[in-house]
Amino acid sequence: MQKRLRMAGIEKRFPGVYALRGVNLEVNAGEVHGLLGENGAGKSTLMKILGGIYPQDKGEIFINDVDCTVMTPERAQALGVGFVHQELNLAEALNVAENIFMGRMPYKNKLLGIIDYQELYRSTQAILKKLGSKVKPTDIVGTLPTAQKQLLEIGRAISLDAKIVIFDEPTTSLGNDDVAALFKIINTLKQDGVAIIYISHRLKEIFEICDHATVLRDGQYIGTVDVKSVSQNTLITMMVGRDITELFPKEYGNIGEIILEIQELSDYAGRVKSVSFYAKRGEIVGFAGLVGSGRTEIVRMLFGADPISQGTIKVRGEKVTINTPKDAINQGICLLTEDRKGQGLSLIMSVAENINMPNMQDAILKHSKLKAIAEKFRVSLRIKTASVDTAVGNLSGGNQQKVVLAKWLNTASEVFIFDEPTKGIDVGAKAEIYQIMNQLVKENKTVIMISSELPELLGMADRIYVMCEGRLTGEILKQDATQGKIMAFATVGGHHVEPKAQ
Amino acid sequence: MKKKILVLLLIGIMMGVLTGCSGSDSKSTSNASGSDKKTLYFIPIVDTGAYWSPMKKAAEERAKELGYNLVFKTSPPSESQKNEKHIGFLQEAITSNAVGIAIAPMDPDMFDRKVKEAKDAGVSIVTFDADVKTKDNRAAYVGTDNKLAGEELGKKAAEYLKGKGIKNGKIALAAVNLTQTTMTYRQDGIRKGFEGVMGADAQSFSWLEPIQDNDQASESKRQLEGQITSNPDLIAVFSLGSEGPDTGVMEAIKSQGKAGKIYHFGFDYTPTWENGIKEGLITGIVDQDSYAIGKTIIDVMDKIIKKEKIQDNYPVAVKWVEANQIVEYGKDKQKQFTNETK
Amino acid sequence: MLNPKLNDGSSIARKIDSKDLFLKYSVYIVLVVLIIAFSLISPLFLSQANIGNFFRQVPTVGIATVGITMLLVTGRVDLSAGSIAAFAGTAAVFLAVKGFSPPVVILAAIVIGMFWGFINGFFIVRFKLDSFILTLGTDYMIRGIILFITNGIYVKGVPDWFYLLSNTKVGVNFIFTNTLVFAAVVIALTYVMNHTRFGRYCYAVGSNQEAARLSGINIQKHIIKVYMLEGSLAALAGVLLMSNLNVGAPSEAAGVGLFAMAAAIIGGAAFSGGVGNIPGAVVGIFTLEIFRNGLAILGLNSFIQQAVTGGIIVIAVVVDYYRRNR
Repeated sequence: MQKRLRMAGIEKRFPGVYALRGVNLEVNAGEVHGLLGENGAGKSTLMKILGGIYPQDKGEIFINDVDCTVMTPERAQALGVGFVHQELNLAEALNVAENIFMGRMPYKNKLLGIIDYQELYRSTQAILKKLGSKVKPTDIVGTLPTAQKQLLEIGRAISLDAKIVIFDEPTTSLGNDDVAALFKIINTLKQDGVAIIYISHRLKEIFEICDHATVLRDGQYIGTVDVKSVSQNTLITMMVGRDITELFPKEYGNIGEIILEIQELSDYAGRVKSVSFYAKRGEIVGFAGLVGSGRTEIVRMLFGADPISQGTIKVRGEKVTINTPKDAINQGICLLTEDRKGQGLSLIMSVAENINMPNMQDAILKHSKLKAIAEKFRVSLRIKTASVDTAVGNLSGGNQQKVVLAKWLNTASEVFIFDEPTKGIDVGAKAEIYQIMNQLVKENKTVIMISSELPELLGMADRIYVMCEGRLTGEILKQDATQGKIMAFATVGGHHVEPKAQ
Repeated sequence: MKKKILVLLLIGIMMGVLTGCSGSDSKSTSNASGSDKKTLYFIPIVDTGAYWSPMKKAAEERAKELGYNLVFKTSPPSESQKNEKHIGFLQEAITSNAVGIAIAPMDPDMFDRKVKEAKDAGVSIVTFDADVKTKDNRAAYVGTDNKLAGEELGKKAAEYLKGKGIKNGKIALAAVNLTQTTMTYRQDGIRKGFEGVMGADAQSFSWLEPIQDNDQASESKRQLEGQITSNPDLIAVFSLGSEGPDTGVMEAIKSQGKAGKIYHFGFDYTPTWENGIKEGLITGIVDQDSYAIGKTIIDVMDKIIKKEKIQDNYPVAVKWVEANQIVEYGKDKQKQFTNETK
Repeated sequence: MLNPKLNDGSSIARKIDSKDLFLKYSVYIVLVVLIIAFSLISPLFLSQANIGNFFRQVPTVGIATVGITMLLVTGRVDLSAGSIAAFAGTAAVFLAVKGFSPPVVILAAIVIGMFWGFINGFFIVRFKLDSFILTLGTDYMIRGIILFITNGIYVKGVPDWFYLLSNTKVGVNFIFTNTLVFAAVVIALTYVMNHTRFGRYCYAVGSNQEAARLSGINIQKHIIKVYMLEGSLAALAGVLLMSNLNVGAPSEAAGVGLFAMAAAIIGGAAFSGGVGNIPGAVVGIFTLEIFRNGLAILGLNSFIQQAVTGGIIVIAVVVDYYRRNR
């Protein structure tokens, strides 16, 4: 078989971190090659280097044995590298043909920019036929269902006569039938001799469609395997493969009575389906699941940020109504959002103002009092900042997270909900955040923690709920929890007991 | 689905509005053709204020007496595409088979072509307030000659100053919009009349940059206050009509404590003047007899339709009213006001 | 704490170079340069009479600017401010002519301003509308209604007390009551923006609406409140304007909202919200007004005056661009 792509010894540094260190990737023509690794393992960076979006610091790239070490987006396109993105980049107001050929329209008169629509629709029809799609070239993209839109991304790659097509988690938003259709198309491409790189967290799919798979971990090349000759466990070990206990300074609080009880909670969009759970005082409750499994939606409803369609919430044994964040705050519930910069903080406002935002009790403010409060938190949480008057935007990620924490510690909150508490935070600050969680449960408060980092959940949570496609599929106690069990619940809803990984 | 319903609903509403509008339009025209009355179009620049309101009243009354169906068309003062809109009214009159159109063209060139089209379509045109460029295309012009009116005001002002023994000084001027043709004519006329009376002494008067305020009294007030401050020898101000500059000039004189020291000559009667008579903020005005203009327009139209002989020009003289007579004059004048509005 | 923007320098290593200094204080520099230049060109510029004129001309648009600045900080705009001023001012004259007592008249005008502010705010939060478009619509609407009611004709016969609202000299020769009202509004609103929960909520909502909402701030209620306060300030400006003009002029104050917005932005506020402060905006409006006053003193052609005023707005916002991106 012909070697379509060879990337060797790829190295990429971003300020302060190694994103990739000595990574190799070889893909044959007519092969589907899986690319595996945890979040942040370096898959996207590697693909961006292949697409010419980032230049690599070291390493070689060969396409069809031609040296392409210096790659640019234009060159990548010319060499037939096509991307099918997870997030769709389509102009919803334009029609199918215009989207597929955007920027490469056939012209009747190039100077005046008069488009040859006949030719455009004819070529589009040919591509759509290849894809087995029933949409018409003139359909407006905005009116199509998601699966069909995804097809257009593939169509765009085909129209470029792509020799290497990269699928970046193409199935996250597809139903089972659509996935089957997608695989059919991938197989067609494969038979045409296209080299396919397939990125997915769903191991089941890797075994179904891929011939070989390359595993990355923390920016390092772990190995390439023949999918038919390995077990899922081997792949998981390759992907995770590290000792995690020491990273997490778990301390135990006195688990007390139930403080929060949720029954049959559903949202309007159908992303949360009849979820029931509880949390006790002195407990860290973890929520695991794939991105988009409905974890964030649950806690946003619980916090009054989004409307609740159905369900009851009991706080300290009493049924409560939560319509706005204010209601939740009054019940002692607070939420530290995943998107700190977008939702948690006002970056252009000072540390002191952010800390005091949810708790300005006086109509006329005493600045000295507010500053003193902020100063207290700056010291106790060791927030590294020149002063409490500094704009929060100037702080590092870890210190910003501490400001968000201070904001809620400043209220009478008893239930602290963390959505991805350590996302984008360096190792040192992570440990400090974990220490604060320990402190909270020792004070008989409750922590609910959503995390996509399994080690973090395994290390810190007393009890882990697992979600899959809007439903609560499992509940695991700390002593019973393993990555395999969690992933089994998260990917297939616990129907198969054998371990499957992300 | 919800979205679609909403869109349909919106379309429905818009259709309703559109047909509603055109419905009312066609009503007025079908009225015209339905009855035996002949239709005349009357298109002034606006229909509000002390100048236009009596004119409208006169036209409506006279048309009723003579048995015409008068279609009245104009736009609000703040209309952004006024010229276009009024040219559109002309076209509308042609299409709806009016026998005659009376129009106040805002610009002599802009309306010239459309007026010719109307003439070619067999519709007689009477211009008022201002004229079009090609005078052959319209049957007659009714109204004050703005140059002559300006001249009259200039003369009276010069005589007044002479009577006070004033032989030199600076003169200011304020208008709504200096680019309007009528304003240019008035300005030219004022200078001509003033210089005519002053003779050799005219050299010792100097004219400041004219003020434009877009009918914002606060603007003309602000600018004139600046001019008064920087020109202690300012002795007279001309305001070229409309309540904005009228009020702005009076209030500027008042705030600078120059009442009775700066003489203010104005254009056209408005009740606004009464604010300043007692304190000496207005010296005198020339007034166009707009009621007479309105009546004459319809009379001329009537003559044209009855194929009687007409003149090319029906000048309506302006009247000089000194401050102490303004109140009395206004009482008669206000009887001619209409209370309607667009 | 007055202005988070000014705090940037303290956290990052402080680099003092002349360009930074210039950009930071550009508005003040422009103001000083203008004053010096005009006083050199015309000795009348600093005369008592002209200073008096200036202080009597500024309050109307100045009070509107204070309101608009508060709105910009909250991340919203109001193009209908001029119409609200004309509506409330004309209504006040009407009531005054009818013989109502001063407190009733002033209170009624402010209530009218609040009402229109409520309409603006309510529609914006209820239907999640863009404030620019909504207030463009209400601007036409409010102006149209008052023109319709008055038939476009000035309301006359203003009683003496109403005229004196703006035009009473206070002590010295160049300070009038409306100047004092303006000063009071500036001081009050500066205090409100810096020392009250309401004011800090404005900054919070303007700099990150979602973060503010998730901090338990009722942003809808807050935005309506801000519009109501801004509307009542516009109404107050309208009353002072009509008092100054001695009539009720329904067509007055056209474009005041835009002019005030330009002044606020020159003074450091931003369309994106969250930044800006009242003293800065006052400097902004002073800059623009001194410029216009100076040009009038010089007796420039009024078309050129308009063009040059537009030019200074353009220059000021370009300088602001550099200030933000240094």
